[in-house]
Amino acid sequence: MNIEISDLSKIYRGGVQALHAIDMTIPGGMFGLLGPNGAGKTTLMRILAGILRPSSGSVQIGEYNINTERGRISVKRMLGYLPQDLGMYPDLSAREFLDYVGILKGMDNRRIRHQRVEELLEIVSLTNVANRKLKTYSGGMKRRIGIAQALLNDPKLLIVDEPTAGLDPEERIRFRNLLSDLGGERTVLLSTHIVEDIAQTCRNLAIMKSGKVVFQGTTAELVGQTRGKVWIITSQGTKPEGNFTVVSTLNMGSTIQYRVVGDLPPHAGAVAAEPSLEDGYVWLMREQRASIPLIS
Amino acid sequence: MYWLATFYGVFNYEFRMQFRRLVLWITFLCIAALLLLRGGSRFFLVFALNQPLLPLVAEWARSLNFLVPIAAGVLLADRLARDRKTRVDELFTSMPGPLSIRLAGKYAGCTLATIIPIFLFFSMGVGSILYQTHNLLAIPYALEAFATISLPGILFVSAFSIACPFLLWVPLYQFLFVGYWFWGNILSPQIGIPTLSGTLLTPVGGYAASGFFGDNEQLIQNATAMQAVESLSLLLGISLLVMVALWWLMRWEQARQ
Repeated sequence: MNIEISDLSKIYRGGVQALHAIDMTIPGGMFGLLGPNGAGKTTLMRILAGILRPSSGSVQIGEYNINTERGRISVKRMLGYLPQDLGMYPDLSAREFLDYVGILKGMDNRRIRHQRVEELLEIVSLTNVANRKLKTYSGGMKRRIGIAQALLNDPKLLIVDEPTAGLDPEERIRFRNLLSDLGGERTVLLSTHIVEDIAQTCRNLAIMKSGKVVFQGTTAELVGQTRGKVWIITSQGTKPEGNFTVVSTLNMGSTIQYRVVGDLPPHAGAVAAEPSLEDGYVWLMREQRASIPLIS
Repeated sequence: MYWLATFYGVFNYEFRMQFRRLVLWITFLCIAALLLLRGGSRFFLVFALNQPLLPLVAEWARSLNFLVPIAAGVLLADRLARDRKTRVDELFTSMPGPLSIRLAGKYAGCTLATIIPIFLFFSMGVGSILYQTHNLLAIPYALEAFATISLPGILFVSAFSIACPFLLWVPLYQFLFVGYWFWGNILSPQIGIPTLSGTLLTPVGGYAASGFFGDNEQLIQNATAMQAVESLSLLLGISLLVMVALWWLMRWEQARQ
């Protein structure tokens, strides 16, 4: 199922413009939405989930136009949504909360709903604590309940906003793998500012900054743009200076290895390195910063 | 069918969440203890002395209505506000279950859960009356009295307590509500301060007690059955209007976001 976004803008009360005439096409499968905090990712997700109304522009999700009430309701029926700050009733158990969500998602056959709840508790490995109240759950367990509630109605469109925030490395990997599995048969929109999550799961991505889409394409294309611009500099201790951005610093004992992104070899001893998605992202953000004075 | 299932589901969980609140039971136990202490061990017995059964049962229902709805109103005030506080409102808005059904389920579920301890306390008094009068008619009379004297007031209070905190900070609403209760229900108009006391709009159930049951030992005396019906209709109608207004307001706010 494709999502077509045309000329989409969102201006909040008080005049803050969160989205500036966005055009984007989201194909089926896993799609990553990357950008710094405040880029407009969550606003876009909330519009797609039918929580916010766009100020202008249109969004077509499959055959439904979410500018209409009927379209929004139709999309909600096939949607799974995991918000950044997942709300839950602390005095309900996980099993009860999932059942409640199932009811609100229109799963009115009690037997099927209960069966689905048990399946998902099993998938997220929470069956043995399913009767415990949610207020006793850790952050990671709550995220797992979050993904379980999003999957209850077997959604064709899954929107997950910063799903791995606050998870430990092992849980993050498990979560990413789960999302990748799900992406095989549905559209999964993954919003994050953790580049690694996108690198490991998505072939297509868009990068947003200040309410605009600054890149849309494949991860390979983004990495390709950075080829020849990533360098390793080994220094005895003094931090190299120049027209580049330091991506990482690795203390090797007697020397320090800097991984930098810049246009030209920054240093006589600089060695070219194979770019990663993170390098591509840093390069793009750097280019965006550089282009701002030209635009203004 | 889908709407009915959604309503029942929301009703069921809102009921459970309110019913399990420890503070609900502690509050009503405290009120019961307070009333018992005030009346001493003869509290339930004093009504059973020289009155006919019908006004006797009505007086017991009306006596409870002076204090108990305050607790009900205060305990219901956080039910909608906590959806925002816990951020479940964002999640629920992304789901197809209609807002109107969610609100109706919430109203019905948490109101019923709040009524149960009130009804239990009321039943204790009815048991005492039954014990003293040995008249089984006390049971149907009591059910009738509860349905017409206590219930409309609680439904009225419940609607406001769920709706108003959408616009007001919960503790502020609770404070104002307690003030309203004493001003608009207990303050005698004879004092000279303008008040809703004694009007058809008072949810303490004075008109129903007097008009239907002949209980005239109170502020409202010799009311007719028609006045009682008018008071009930007004209270229930306003409750419905308040909930519809809340639904409209929430929809309007969602559309503005």
